[in-house]
Amino acid sequence: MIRIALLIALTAPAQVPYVRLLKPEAGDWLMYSGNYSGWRYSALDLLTSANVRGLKVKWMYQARTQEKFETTPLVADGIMYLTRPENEVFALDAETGRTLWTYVHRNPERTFNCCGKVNRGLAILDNRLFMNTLDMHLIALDARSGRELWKVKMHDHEAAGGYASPGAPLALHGKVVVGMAGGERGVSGFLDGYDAATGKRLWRFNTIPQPGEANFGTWAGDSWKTGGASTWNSGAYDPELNLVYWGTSNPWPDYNGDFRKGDNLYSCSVIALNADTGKLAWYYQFTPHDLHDWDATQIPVLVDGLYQGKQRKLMAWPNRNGFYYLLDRATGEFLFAKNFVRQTWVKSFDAKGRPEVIPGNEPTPDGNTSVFPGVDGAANWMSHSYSPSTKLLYTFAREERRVFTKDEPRHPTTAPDAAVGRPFRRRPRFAPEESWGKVMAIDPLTGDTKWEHKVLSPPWSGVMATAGGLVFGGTLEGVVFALDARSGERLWHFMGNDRVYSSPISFLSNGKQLMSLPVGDVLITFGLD
Amino acid sequence: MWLAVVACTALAQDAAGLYRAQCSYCHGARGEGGRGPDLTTGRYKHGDLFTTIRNGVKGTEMPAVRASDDDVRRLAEYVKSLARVDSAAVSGDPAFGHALYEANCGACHETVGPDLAGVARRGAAFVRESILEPGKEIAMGYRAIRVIVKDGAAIEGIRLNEDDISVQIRDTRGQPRSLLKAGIVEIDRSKPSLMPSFAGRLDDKQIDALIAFLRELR
Repeated sequence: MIRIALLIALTAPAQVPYVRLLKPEAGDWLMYSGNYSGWRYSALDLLTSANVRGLKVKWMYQARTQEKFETTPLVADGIMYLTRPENEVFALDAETGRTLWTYVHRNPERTFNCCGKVNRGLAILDNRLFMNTLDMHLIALDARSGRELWKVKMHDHEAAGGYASPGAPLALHGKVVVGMAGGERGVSGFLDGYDAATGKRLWRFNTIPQPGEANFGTWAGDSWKTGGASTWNSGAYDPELNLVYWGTSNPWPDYNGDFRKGDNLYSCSVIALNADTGKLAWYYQFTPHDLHDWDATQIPVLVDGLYQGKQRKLMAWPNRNGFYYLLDRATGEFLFAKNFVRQTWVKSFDAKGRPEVIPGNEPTPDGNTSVFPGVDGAANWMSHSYSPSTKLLYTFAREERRVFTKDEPRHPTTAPDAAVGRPFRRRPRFAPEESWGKVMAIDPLTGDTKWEHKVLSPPWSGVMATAGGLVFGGTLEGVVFALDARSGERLWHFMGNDRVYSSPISFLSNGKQLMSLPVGDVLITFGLD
Repeated sequence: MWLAVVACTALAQDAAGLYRAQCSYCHGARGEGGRGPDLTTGRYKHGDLFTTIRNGVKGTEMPAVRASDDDVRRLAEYVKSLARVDSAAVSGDPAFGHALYEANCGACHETVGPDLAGVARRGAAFVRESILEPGKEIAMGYRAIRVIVKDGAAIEGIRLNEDDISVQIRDTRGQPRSLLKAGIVEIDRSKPSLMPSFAGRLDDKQIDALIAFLRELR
């Protein structure tokens, strides 16, 4: 009998083989962005403008955490997998929200996360779930049981000013790509590829060129050793080109460039890496020598389209620095940039996409209050969405006035009694009417805005478009909404009454389309009766 | 050279600057509270201030402050100073001040405006400024708002809460109101404070008397 059971276990089909990740079924949500192209789009069309007003709470998952609940759940074959801060994994029945199993990774007391002890989600491949942790581990779990299969240390989390890994990993064919955080702590950034079966590291790409590597020398003196350029969000993948696309963070120190003169490659950039080798195919730097913490860690959105008479593989990118960019994702060629919020720092772009910077926008010791966009940017880590039915890109943009203060840098260290951490950010309160949010529909091929839906506060939620012609999201006040994807009209809302720090997903359960979004520390799943 | 600069400048952070950078967002520019508790009362719920600032408070939004132990000590001292009672002598007559309070202040400050008990701890200069320039610094939770609803009625008060669907107001009679934005035709936030300026309406002697009275409202 034991032999039979073993045989069954060994021959059970892999739950999510790579072929399912290549073309995810509409009823599942198999990766952070829903597909490799970073679309965060649901091909389900059961929820429509005609019936969305009937959307109701179906079930809730109570995370019971004071930390920001930033997870994007995965759904495969009726089971939802999600993370809860700090690094706990839950498998839930997607129909009822009832827990099936849990896994807990305990971090040390001190971790070196920037902005809360958060985690943004998992990756799945075959029967394995992958989670990276605040103390720099990558863990594989058996998706059926939560049993730990392997655990590897990616880096000493106490090195330099401290490393952490809060973003969702990206599972490819036989491997897992994982980023790291610490750009505000004087680390040295990298992006790693691991063998999904064993946890063996297959490659590491240093996001700051090391001596002897191409583009070394864009950092003055030894500043490259502590230059940040982390990879703290997730990325996208083009299977045909076999290129992984990932955004990089700010250079360190965030608001003081005196010690790191130069372009500071590859900070505030998108890097395109060969998925098998981790070798750089191309890069584009959105913000050379950044002084404003304008990370380029947004999720890349891969679209194909006719640009200037030629069908091209493109990359659409609303950036934290206030500009929407269109790039050729095969070559990295800059096609154009156009601001989508108020901006004060760029006069123009040259043919290669290098910005001509307007003087006077630098942080000052007393605080520069005249710079737009603000320190949290026009876009941040929250997901954009692309709908192949409307052919529009949706972004939840931030129009915000803030202060940029030039602080003196401190030597990066994790010593308990040292003056460590990010430079102090002065965050005075401006009047509410000086900052707001807006869901925007942008034509990705022209950068033209088709509509805007304004909300009260700059958001921390992403958006998700659906084949039913809807765009879902949530506000900082907890208003969960559905907009008409073609007009921006609000069709439905739910008063969640707590901050939304995540992006929606949609999936099928028992033949019905559901939508889930964390509000406060509760994951709310909505459906029709 | 880099490290030397770093070491020197780290010491140059003044305690007030540390407070502004690390604490004021939640606890208010002068410690008056808001998202976080009022720090001017001199009562600290979680005990030792150094430990609270150093480690944060588990189960709350109060994070561990990222600063050296020395800076945390200076921050703790600064926070204590926010609760220090201003004991400088004032020349006003508190009984006269009481009468002025009843005539000019009580109607609003006992309904819609902030409770003035303990306000004099912040010093005579602060109280004087608040009387003469009430819009200069608005305590969190006391921003003025005026809305006009569909039937043309105007409702003025302080904004208690707001989202994209609704706004919550304490009107000038002290009544809490919740209004759906679908029924509002105009929202005016241009006036920062409901309180009028008393410049030209109260002279120095009267203001001194008011301050003397407010000193007694512990």
